[in-house]
Amino acid sequence: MQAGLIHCHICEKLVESESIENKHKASCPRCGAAMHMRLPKSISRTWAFLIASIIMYIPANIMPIMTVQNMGKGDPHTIIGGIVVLIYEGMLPIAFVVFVASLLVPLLKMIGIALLLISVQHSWQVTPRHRTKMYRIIEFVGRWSMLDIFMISILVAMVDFGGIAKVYAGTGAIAFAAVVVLTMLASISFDSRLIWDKVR
Amino acid sequence: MGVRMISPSTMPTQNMLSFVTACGECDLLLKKEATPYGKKACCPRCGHVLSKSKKNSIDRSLALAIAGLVLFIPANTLPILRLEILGIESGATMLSGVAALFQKDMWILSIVVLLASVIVPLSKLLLVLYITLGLKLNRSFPRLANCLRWYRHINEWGMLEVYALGIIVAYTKLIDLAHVIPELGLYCFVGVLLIATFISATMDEEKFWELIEEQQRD
Ligand SMILES: [Zn+2]
Ligand SMILES: [Zn+2]
Repeated sequence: MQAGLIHCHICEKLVESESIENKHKASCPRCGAAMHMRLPKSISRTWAFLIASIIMYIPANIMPIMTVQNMGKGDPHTIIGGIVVLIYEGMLPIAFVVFVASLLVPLLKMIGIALLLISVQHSWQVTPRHRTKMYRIIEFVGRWSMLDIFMISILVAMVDFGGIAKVYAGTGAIAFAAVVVLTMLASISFDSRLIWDKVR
Repeated sequence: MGVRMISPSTMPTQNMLSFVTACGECDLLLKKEATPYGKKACCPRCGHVLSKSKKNSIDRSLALAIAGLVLFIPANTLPILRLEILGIESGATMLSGVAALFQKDMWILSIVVLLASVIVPLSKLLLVLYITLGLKLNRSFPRLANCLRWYRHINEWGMLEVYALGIIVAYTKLIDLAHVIPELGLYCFVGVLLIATFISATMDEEKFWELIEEQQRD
């Protein structure tokens, strides 16, 4: 950005922008990745993924993520229902982990990305360092929400005892996986360098 | 590579490019300096880790990739947990979890699980093996740069550590219902997980890129 240089976001090579002929289809001479001053349409793409994930967050929490059938009787439960069952059974630490990973993390992640987008669009001058740190945390924690999905896949395979006990995955699980993937795509599309561009 | 801030008055010229770098997160221009082994260089403005210099990075990554690939097959095909209810036994492997979802009309979900827990971690190990072999033997293997680029792209989508936590939660949910026994596949899985973590810690990507660039020049 400064001094007529472009920084490759994959291999971190610096290339003089004048040495690149076609400004719209430039690729890095070292790794071959597409090169941009900033990721193209970063803000609108991030908004799109973010809004899609907010929409999916509703069915993810209302619809059942799995059904545990025990002796023929079974009731479908939602993410919150699963946490309540864990608390009821006295598994407090695990209940807390699931609560953080499947409820708190996606929610805070969506709020965080929205804040970053608004801060960049309104050229906030304050706390760029903190906002970069926030972006780094958001990028790191998002994946942990996949916890519930993996747990369901293990339970579905293991608990298959015909009439005695059986576990089914619910449609809420698909919506929930979509939330995790969409928020990850949102944080990947956000170009953290935008935070610093407007800071003088 | 260490760093020092460049004052705006000293704008880089053509011959300066070889020792100038920019922070990946805030684009601050910095001067490269050799980082001592085992030390990290951080951006003075935003705190982003710019490089971590590692001793024997190629050899170590190569050895870890081979070990990881050896353990990968049993980790995926041997049962990780075994369950016993009223004398009936049932076991689950990582792959049977994917298959069970697929059979129950949850194919989208099964693809997500398959990608995050099997395909991406396996591809990462294979890519590291290919890249480190190419650099170690100093042969210009085809598409070495593309492989390292793909490694960067898929890195975030491998979620073995999250899967490990998933196993723990599944375990606590089951001990109420039945007798649960950890199986050999679980230990192989933990091995793969640890190796994958060590690889990300020992790979000196900056150095890899420089070596690949040297190969490209010859
Ligand atoms: Zn590049
Ligand atoms: Zn920086």
